[in-house]
Amino acid sequence: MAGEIRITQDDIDSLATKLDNFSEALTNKERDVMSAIMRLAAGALESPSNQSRTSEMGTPEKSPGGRLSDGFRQAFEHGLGTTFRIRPGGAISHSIDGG
Amino acid sequence: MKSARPKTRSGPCRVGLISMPFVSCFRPSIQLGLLKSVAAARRFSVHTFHLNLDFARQIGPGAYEEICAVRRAFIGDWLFAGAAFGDALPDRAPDFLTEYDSDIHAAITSVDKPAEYLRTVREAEVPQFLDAMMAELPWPDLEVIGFTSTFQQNAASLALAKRVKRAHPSIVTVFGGANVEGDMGVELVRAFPDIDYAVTGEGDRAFPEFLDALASGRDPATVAGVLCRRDGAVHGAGCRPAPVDLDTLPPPDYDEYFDRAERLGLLSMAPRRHVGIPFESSRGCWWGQKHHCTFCGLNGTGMAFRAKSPQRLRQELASAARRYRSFTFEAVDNILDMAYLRTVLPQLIEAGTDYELFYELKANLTREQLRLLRTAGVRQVQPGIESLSTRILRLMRKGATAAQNVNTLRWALYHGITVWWNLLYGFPGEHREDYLAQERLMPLLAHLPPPNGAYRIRMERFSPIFTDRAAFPARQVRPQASYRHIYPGHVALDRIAYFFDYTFVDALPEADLAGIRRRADAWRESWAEPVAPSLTFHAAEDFLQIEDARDPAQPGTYTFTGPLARIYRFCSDRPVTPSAVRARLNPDRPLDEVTEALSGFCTRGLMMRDGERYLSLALPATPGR
Ligand code: SF4
Repeated sequence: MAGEIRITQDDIDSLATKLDNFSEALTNKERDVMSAIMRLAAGALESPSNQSRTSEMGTPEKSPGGRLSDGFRQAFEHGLGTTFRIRPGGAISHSIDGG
Repeated sequence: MKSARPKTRSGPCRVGLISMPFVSCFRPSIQLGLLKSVAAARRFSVHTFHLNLDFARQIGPGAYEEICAVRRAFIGDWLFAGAAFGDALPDRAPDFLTEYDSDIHAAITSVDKPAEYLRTVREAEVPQFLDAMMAELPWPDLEVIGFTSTFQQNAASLALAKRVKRAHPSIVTVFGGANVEGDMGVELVRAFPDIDYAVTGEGDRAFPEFLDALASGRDPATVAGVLCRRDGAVHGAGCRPAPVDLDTLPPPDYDEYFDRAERLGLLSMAPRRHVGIPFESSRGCWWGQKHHCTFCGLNGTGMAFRAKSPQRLRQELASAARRYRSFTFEAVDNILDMAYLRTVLPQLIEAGTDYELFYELKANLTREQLRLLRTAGVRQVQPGIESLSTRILRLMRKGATAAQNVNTLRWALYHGITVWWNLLYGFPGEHREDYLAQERLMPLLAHLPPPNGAYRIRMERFSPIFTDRAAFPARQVRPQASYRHIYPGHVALDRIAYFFDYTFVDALPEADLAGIRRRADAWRESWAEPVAPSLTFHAAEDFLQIEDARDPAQPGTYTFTGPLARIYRFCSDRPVTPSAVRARLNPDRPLDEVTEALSGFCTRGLMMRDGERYLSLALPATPGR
């Protein structure tokens, strides 16, 4: 429809890739200008009319809680995932319908 | 020396095209296949003889392939030098075996005593092989024999040419291939009278025109690209044939390669063959046209990039699959045509082909592009990674960053594409810190495919570091030492050599690079273990766990929720700046807080930082998306 552009996540990712490559050729100042434009654009895209969009970033952060780096505290544990030591008997449906 | 003016001929001549040791026996020669087709299209009777197959069978394909793969010593040429140069042989004493003892032991592992084995091959196997080929090939039926010579094929080709000229003086000999480019071809023709002609540059048009001239009694030396001796000088130098339109070329003919390999028992008869069929979709290099990588010996005049049309390429692959009963193809291109990402590759997906393709390509590919490549059947790539330092990559004019290289390794692994790559060092202007930083980075990449090794760059003829001494000041530039063990004294080694020894004025000494070599070795060894290192993330919405088994003996798990989980995923597709992360996460967050979070991931070895950009290192748990 005239005046309305439908933007998908793929469009944004592909533009971001091109801009990333392009930014190699920019001066520091030009990069700041580009970042500012990107911020404005991101703000516009995350306006209420675009809220139905989902992304790998999930729902945009609305109100920052604590400091981001707080999340690193106790993030690490030794070891990997675990499971029952005995071999599972079958699919879950078997225990539900008795089949 | 008398000039090689041809006798008057009438009718198409009978031609034999020969591939001598040492070049891999596992695939046909595209040079032979293509020249056979172009000459046959002009009604010449052409046969190809992959005599490298015969020699591989005679000495054992294992050791044969190991000799083909030796990087420095030119063992293959040394083995045939005795037969080629006889009394003029420079190396009667076993100097060569002593000087290259460590290279030989490292490279040849399939026999117990490699030095003794090589001496036996040189003194007994080579003469026996040449006798057998003289007895077996239909020499009286041939009027012209063409040798293709690339890297280690000179001495073997000269050895056979000498015997043929002695036994059948009327046969015209012609040399072609990479060893005949530029000054190297001029010197070969000047120094070796058993070579009547050489075709330099693209032979697709020059070779059939040369045959036409011979057949009709015209002077073949008038054909652009043809060299010969005239009155003691080399005639035709500096005149190259014009580049051809690749769509006008016929497909290469490999029938005789397969017949021979099967007849010799190297390849068993089967309904389907797992043999890489060489194909050519482009020539030249679109990147090198703009920025010639400093170490690359691709000839300046051969740099002009041209590609086959998508339709033509698809037809060629389809008919080769049918004809040779193989679905495995190896592109001989220097670099993938990026337009194919929009044309050929989606078309192959659409057509549902099951090809397994190999391509060389430029390393700054995106996740999406790698997914497309894999879906289209690209199983193996050589992306010219060369370094994990953006500064070193700039010094070599590679046009990629360290983070882009790492990202290519990540998504290639994720999509199941095998990556072949090397680490290179020895660039003028490099600093110790450039390599210390790589040493620190490499253990964090243990879950990604390791390099084949870390090597000092070789100085190749035609490369900028060879041709532009003002920009790359070097001391003691001289032909690589192995050449003097091979060629007789009357050969100008500085003209026949492709590789040169040198010392750069401001490159690091070998001792400073021991660390990076050790790291590369350790990386490769860790991938040889039964359980390969891994770094994987499992994601839910706003929740992320990263399983770190890069050291399988000490695995650990990181758990992140909320914004940190989102940041990690946002930095996974490609390297991004803190500003981009903030714009995406929440423009109200202070930038330094975002940067601090990114640094937190780096401190834990879960991300890498390259200049202003950050890249997550783990790969998603669900493969192939
Ligand atoms: S190294 Fe590769 S990308 Fe660079 S100029 Fe040579 S062929 Fe082109």
